[in-house]
Amino acid sequence: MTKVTPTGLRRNICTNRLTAAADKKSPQVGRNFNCALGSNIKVIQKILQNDGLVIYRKIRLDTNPFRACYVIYVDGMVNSDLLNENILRHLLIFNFGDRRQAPKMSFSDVLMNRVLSTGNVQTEKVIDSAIQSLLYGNVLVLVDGIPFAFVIDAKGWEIRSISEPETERVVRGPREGFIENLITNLTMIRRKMINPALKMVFRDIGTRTRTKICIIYIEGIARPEIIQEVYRRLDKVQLDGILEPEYIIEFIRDAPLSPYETIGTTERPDTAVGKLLEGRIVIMVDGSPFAITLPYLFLEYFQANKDYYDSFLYSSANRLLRYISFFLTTSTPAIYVALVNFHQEMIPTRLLISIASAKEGVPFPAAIEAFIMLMAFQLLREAGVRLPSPVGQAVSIVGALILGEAAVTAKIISAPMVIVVALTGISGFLVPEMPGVSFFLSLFFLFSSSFIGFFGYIFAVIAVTIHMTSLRSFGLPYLSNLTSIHGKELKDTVVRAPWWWMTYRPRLLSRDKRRLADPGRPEP
Amino acid sequence: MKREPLSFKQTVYLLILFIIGSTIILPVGTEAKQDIWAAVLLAIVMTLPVVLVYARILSLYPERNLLEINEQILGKVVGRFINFLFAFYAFTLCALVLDNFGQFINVTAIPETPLAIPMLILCLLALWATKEGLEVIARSGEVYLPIIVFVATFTFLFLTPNLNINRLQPSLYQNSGGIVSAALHLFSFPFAETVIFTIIIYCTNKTKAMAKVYLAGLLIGGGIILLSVTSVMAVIGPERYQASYFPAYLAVQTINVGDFLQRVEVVVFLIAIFAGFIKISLCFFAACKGLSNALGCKEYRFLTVPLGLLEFLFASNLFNSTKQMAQWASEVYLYFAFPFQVALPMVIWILGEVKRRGRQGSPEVDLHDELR
Repeated sequence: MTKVTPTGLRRNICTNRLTAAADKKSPQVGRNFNCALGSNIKVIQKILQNDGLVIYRKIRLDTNPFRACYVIYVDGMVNSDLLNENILRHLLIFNFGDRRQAPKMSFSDVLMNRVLSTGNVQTEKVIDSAIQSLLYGNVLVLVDGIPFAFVIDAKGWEIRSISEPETERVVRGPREGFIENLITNLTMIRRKMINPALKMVFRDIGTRTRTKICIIYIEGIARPEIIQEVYRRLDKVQLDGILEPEYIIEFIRDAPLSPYETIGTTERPDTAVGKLLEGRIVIMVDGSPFAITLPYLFLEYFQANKDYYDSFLYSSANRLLRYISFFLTTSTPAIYVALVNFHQEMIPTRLLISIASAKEGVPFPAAIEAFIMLMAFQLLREAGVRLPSPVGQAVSIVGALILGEAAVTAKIISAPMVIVVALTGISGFLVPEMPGVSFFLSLFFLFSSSFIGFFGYIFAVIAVTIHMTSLRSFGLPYLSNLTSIHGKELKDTVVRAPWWWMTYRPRLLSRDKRRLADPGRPEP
Repeated sequence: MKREPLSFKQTVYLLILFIIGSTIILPVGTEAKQDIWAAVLLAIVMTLPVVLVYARILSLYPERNLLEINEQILGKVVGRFINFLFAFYAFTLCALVLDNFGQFINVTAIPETPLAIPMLILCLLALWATKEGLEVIARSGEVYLPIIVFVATFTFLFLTPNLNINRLQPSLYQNSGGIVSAALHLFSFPFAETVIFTIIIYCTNKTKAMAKVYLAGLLIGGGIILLSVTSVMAVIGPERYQASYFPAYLAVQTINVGDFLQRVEVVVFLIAIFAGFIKISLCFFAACKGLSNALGCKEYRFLTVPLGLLEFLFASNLFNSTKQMAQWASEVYLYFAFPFQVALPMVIWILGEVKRRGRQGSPEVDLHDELR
């Protein structure tokens, strides 16, 4: 369950005022801290006025003469144990007058080296940047007479605990999934890949939300030109708010109007690392448990992560099943309509008679019937997705009973059509990542085959092929590795070869092609 | 303009699909009667030297297609005029194939629908594919060929009970004139039509051995044609083969597996549409390229829409009936295609060799930089 805290809310909107202040071209923009504590604090307070969550703690340091010091942080975004024990406590009790404790050190060095006992302490001269990191959960310490701020990393806010991802369940395999916190997600990836070649590059994106994103790749495997292309496209994202990876995806993807996805998402760290090892690039966005993986090729729709955890024979069978189900879910209504309306001679006579008798009394032509049923199925699916599960079950019972049984009994829909649409729907669930594509395709095929039968269907197939072959994902042809009858490239496409046989990474994707140092069948 | 080099495999696939194209549906080599296999073999043998000439022309000038080679050899004015003629040939060929498939779909499946509808759709698809570029056509070919091979294999297996070897006998008994005449027809349609490829492909590092590309495509494609026409002849016999417009369709109609799988000819010939689409697109692509070169434009894409619509009008007004189409194909096409398939390539080849000899000794010019 997602825990909605005021912190979460403010993390999304916290920089609005900053930017608003910047918009007004206030004189503070770009200004550095000066030595006078009072004026520094006034500037900060002016920028952050009406922001009740920011806490200013004034301390008089034990120096001779007394110096004032401000500890500034955002309530709820810092780890209060760390703040109290390692920052406030030390500032309060440290005896700055004691020369033995700080021999020949400047005052700021004493603070840095003797007092602030946390891991990450940096100094910041520019007011804007200091406020930026303050709002990201860091603690600012401003001391009278020092023309910069100490930025102490003491972030700590409520996060959801790691749980199994809802969208990509597996029977066998790791159960952890990404959560909304970027750093936690990155550690999950880092833990699986203990190698300095794993690179994580941070960026701020979104002109107002300044969301942190992280571009992850493995140096030596990922192709540098793809990485450069990713940077180039990310530079173009000028949206004010990024709340979910889709905001970025729609800016950086190829063919932005195509229903096919040319950028993938995953909720699982193991999948993300698997993609990294194939030479792909992963982008994580703070605040979302979904990672972007790119380039994304068509065959990845059919590669489920569980394929790699099950025995290769079983996985290959499953994968073939997925290809078949893709064909079924897109083509069954179209083929049925073409058969019934145009090419009755192909149906065996007995089947033809039973279909004809089932259609007896049904007022609609087969194409309209199919269209009605497909829409009804999509309605039910969409209704079931967002409802809580008990209500969702009720919807599916009502749908099955009313739309299935009653519609047939009332002679509104013929019984074979119910079977056809059920087959379409069920096989659609085998390739769950592409609900949009298969729905559009099935409608398109149905439409064209209801005009000129099988030839219409084949024209539609040709049109879809033209579109798909023209697609590219970050320079890679969308259908690459799939349009091949070459043994080397079939190993991880139509079937899943055993691991000891997958000597090479996907051909176009990676720089270092060899994945296996010593291929060959293991002989125990 | 971005060059789109094709890989060896893609080029061979396209050649195979191009040769299969409309050949698989039409009655070819009817004069040879039961000796059609001999006619096909003879035609392949006759085509070998010709495709080697095509390959040689392309190899003489790497990184250039026939159009640019013509400009280089014959000079700008004459070269462009010749290119215009080639574009016209490609345009006509495209219309013919379009018409073949339109008639085929109309006659076999949807007699009530106007002929123009399937033709218009096919034409628009070819237009779109051409607009997307050669690479899209090539990749589509990569998708289609395995499907075609798969379906064709099963069709052949299902046809085996109906194969009657007696229909191919007596072999080589009749006068050889029929075989030679059939072989000449088969030479002009489909094998030497591969001259279109000289406009489309060019010699690159990837496809260095143009001769190898052409030979592989010709032999595999020719092999498929040989197998298909021979088995069709063995199923329906020379009389029905000669009498029908679409003999292969008739042959597949006889498939009957356990009284369940029967009348599957529509599904089988859906697959032929794939090959036909590739052939139409390639011809149309060549026509656009040729015309844009003749007009002196570097970019061909702006021509696709007007030329595509013109193509549709041309194709739909080409013949009044299927009969007329068949007659034209058997009586006129051979002579119409001869200059483009043999005469002009020979002239270009000889001139090219002569120029090359003359060029030897002088320092090699970097053709690529000179061009663009």
